[in-house]
Amino acid sequence: MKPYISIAATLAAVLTSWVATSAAQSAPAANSSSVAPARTVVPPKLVHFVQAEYPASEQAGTGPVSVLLLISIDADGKVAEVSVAQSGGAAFDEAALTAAKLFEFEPAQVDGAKVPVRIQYRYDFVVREAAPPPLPTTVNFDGTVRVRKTGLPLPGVVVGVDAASSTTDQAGRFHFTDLSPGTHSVTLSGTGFTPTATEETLEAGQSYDASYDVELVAVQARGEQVDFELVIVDSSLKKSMAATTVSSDQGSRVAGTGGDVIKVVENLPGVARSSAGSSALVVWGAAGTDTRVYVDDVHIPMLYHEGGFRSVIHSDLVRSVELEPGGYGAAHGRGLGGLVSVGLKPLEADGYHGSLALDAIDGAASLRGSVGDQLRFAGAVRRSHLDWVLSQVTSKDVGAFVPIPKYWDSQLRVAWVPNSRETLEVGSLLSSDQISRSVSQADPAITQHESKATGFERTYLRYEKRLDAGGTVTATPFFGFDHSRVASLFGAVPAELSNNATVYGLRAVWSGNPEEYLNVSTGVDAEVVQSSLRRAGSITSPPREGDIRIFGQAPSDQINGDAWNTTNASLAPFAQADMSLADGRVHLVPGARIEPAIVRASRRTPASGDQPSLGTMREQTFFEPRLAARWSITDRLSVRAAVGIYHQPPLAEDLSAVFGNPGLGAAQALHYLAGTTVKLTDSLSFEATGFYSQQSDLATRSPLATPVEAQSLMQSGLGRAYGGQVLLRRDLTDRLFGWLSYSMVRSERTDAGTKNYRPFDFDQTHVLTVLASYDLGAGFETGVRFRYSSGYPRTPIVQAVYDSHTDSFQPVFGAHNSIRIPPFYEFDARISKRFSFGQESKLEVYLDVQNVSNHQNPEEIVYNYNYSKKSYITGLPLLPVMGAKLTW
Amino acid sequence: MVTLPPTRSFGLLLLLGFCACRPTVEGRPSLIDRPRVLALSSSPAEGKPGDTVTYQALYVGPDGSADVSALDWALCTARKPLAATGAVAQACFSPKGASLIALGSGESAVGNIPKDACQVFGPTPPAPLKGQPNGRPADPDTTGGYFQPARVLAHVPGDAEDYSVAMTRLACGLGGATQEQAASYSQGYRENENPALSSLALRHQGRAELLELAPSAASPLAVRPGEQVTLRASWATCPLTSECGDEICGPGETLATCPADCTTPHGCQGSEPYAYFDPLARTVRERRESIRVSWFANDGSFEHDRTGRSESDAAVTYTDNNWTAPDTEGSTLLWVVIRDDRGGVGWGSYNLLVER
Repeated sequence: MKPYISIAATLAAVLTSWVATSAAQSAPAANSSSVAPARTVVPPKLVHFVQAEYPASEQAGTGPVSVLLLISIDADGKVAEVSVAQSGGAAFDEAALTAAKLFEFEPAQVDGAKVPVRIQYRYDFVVREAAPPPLPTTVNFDGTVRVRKTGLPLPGVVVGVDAASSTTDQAGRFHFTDLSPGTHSVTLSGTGFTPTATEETLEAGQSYDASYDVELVAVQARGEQVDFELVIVDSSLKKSMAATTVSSDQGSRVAGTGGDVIKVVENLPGVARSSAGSSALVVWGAAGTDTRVYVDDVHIPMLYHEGGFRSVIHSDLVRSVELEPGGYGAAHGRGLGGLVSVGLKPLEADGYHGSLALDAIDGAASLRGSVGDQLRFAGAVRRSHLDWVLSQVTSKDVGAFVPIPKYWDSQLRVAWVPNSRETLEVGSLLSSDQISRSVSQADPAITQHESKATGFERTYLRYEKRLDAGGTVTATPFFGFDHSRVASLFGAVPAELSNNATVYGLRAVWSGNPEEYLNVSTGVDAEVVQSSLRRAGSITSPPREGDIRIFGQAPSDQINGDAWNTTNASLAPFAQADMSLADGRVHLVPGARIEPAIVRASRRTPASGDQPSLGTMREQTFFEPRLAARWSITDRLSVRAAVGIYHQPPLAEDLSAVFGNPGLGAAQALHYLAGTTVKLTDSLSFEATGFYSQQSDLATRSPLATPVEAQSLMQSGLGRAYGGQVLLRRDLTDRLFGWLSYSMVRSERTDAGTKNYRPFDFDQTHVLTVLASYDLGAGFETGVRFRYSSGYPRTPIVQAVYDSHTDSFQPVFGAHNSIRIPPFYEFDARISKRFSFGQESKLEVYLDVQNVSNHQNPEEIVYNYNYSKKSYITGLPLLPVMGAKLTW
Repeated sequence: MVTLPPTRSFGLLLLLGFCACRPTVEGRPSLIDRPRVLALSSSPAEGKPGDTVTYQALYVGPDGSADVSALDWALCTARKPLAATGAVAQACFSPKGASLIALGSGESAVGNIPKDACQVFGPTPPAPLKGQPNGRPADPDTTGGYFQPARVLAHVPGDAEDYSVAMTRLACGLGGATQEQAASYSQGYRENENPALSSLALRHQGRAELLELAPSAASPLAVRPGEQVTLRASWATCPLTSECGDEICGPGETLATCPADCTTPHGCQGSEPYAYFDPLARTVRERRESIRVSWFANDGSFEHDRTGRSESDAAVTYTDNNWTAPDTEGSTLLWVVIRDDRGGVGWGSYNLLVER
């Protein structure tokens, strides 16, 4: 409370004076022999006090000041005269005299008679805390809306608070006055970003100045992101307002995701449905290895843990997940497919928060907080316990037969925020997966042991600064390790592939607005990967795309071995400009990336006898122009198009002189896409996109029986993917959100030695996803999801041949990938209940039920011993998963 | 950046574990319900280019006999594409073709291993094309072996053409090794000998003793309908160290050092030791053969279609399997095929009487 200066007077009258006066006037002479009778004396009583003005010339709070006054009071109680007996300073004296002259008293009495008297009165000037003002009954709510990545204010955003609305001005400011205290629904809508909603709890009598950073998406007005990016976020708002939290994210509410925000990616248009137990991410018909995954500019090798149950980043740390299936800008490269960017939440100095979560699959915890205003931290850890759960509900040794994934991950972030414009963050991302099983058989030739271990570690440093001119600078150097080892023993046939890599990377970007109509971002993207590999077994085990094989089929018993090292390095400067034309209705985004790259392999030929190992190195420089354009025809209708060239270095696994080709170079892709966005209502939008991707120089198997040494792979494969996708999306308003996405994608490849295209191994022509989530109130929330997808292609078996050497039948195949597994469809449902404790703590209990209809979805074809009969492995039956999450 | 290998197989196996939803697809290989080739042998089991080889077929039908004249033999000279998962090239599975050398028809056939077999199927680099470096040699199998295929076509009346493949292990030496390693390998390696069943015995009616079955006995042993019996297939015990005079020309023995055993060299008909060149470690070491036994019957059912002993279990020279007799009385035929993992094959035919 703000103190105010008050003046309080204290009566400190001293009656000696008037007693003396009275005695002098009434008493006989001192030598009188008679004894006067005792008198009854009643002092004057102050009945009307007047507060003195605190002198304006004097500074308040300097300490108590007193003025001793002599006040003469007549017989009527009026102040006859006032004088200063002891000064407190001229100004104080004057103030005290003025006030005292207005005093009124009950007259003094002597023996019942009113008499005039003179008293001493001390007037004290003191500093007091202000008395509390009357409690206000309304609240004012102001704020600013900015573009998150650039920090620029965003005008024209309609901010709604309940029924009221305010449009942001050129400074991005909005104002609301005289709102009633309590929880309000706050919505943000406008051109260029997805309408978003949150809740604010406003207390009467407090002043609020909120800051909302919004993520611009497909129809962004002046952001640096390219078109066709779809943002699914826990909230696309980032708020810096203290003591309030963002409302629960949309991603975690989607049925079938188990509350994992990143798992929502699987439901986006253009993404093929992963088969049960798979963690592959197939985007627009590109191989899983062709889609790059970044966490705040740090490249990581995988998005999901083995089995696809969970992502490798805790949802509490995730601000957004962005999927760009193709046509992305010049800032990224090295991938022929899509781009997944996981944005981490900014670290705030808003107290300590955390969560504990537990379900049948794993347990997780997160914590974030700050030390002072400048040092902030966040961490999370997760560990699976599915192996333990299954051992409790099935046989104890289930793990010996079933490959149950065991995984853990952890993230740690520490940020130093010296001022409002700069952030320096150091962080680490760790992930580890293990999976194994052993199956003993009476026949030693089919006894199996399989194990797989994967993991990665990343340590990064991230510096971000908002420049005075409105631009930003970010620099993110990182390094780390990737590990992967697959080992199996099928009878006596080994299959081993291990890869240990050290990864160094740097991404530095400057983004700014040199002109009002121009946004420019430029920077450098560097990456060095040094790999040490070892492989043993058949050339087709583990298989690669295009290999014709049957699930469960024994690997070829012709084996070999190799150990080799590789280096993939490239340094890519890039630049991109966003030109805003025609009053911002047309945006032209040209960009380019120049990437000199080297690929080195330690062996150019297989090891043989005493021959020394000779390495090989290949240098290539890629020029990758990119162009995107968008035209906002009306406020609700826009069209867009993009084209770009992309390259991807060869996989280290493919650079073996025995199993691959150490002379491989980069593969190339051309992306073309065009689409439109129609904003049907403030909360309902429709997007349609068509695309064509042409790939060349893909590494593919040599079709020859006796290929040239060290050329088991050839760089002559072609690929193409084409199709379209639509998305009808309702954003979170009135407690409901959801979307319908449909993709029709045809992805095809050629094999070496032929120009005939065949379906890609992971082609899914039709993928339909419909999902919705509804807030029932009282903390209850429910969601449903329906998915339909075409089955993966498979190669038919037209004949079987008995191999007396192995006492087994070998299939003879028909046309490559000319049949399909039957289509998949499934209903999932989710219901949750949130219990609130205090202002910020809550417990969410949820039940996520997959395959509500218990439909037996075929996932893979299996055959009998001589391939004369076939059947299907079916997917998960009705699977309820219950869990709980406590947050504070 | 490490690219993670495909996880699909693991994912599907995990799926199976969750719901035990792998379907049962009809058919057991151990039940002979139509004419089938059960085994093909090559004698000798291992030979050099130019050597003469005799091929033999175990071709049976539900009643025990099958028309062996329907078997058409041919050597195949085509090497399979590098990435093909099968054992032999598709070109082998044809009645005629440029890649086939006809050997005649019948239960057995005789042929000569082509002179260029080690170049086509072995470690000798194929002849380079003009202006090209050497071609890629074939990869050895898990025992270090290379194989010359022979195809058998069975013309089954009313049925599709039925192809089978026999293999002759090639004695081609070692590829890609140092001279020292090659010498060590040569000294420690002995060509493979076909394994043979030393006995097939039966335990039933809760008795401890094993009753030996005579091949194709005129007076077979009797079992009850529906009775479960234990069958034990045994093979020879092979010495781990060579001793001159043990009638086995083993590793380290030569005509000069042990003429008694090596004048007419014989191997062991069980789990033989052999020298092996590890392609990854690039070292020569000694290994033992694993032994597999395949079980067939024209009625009843086996617990396992195949049993055996792995390399680590090679000291044990027998394997057991349970067989449940049919519910109907009559004569039941059994065929037991023994294989070593270097490509050797042997078999025996037996019969049992099922009666109350």
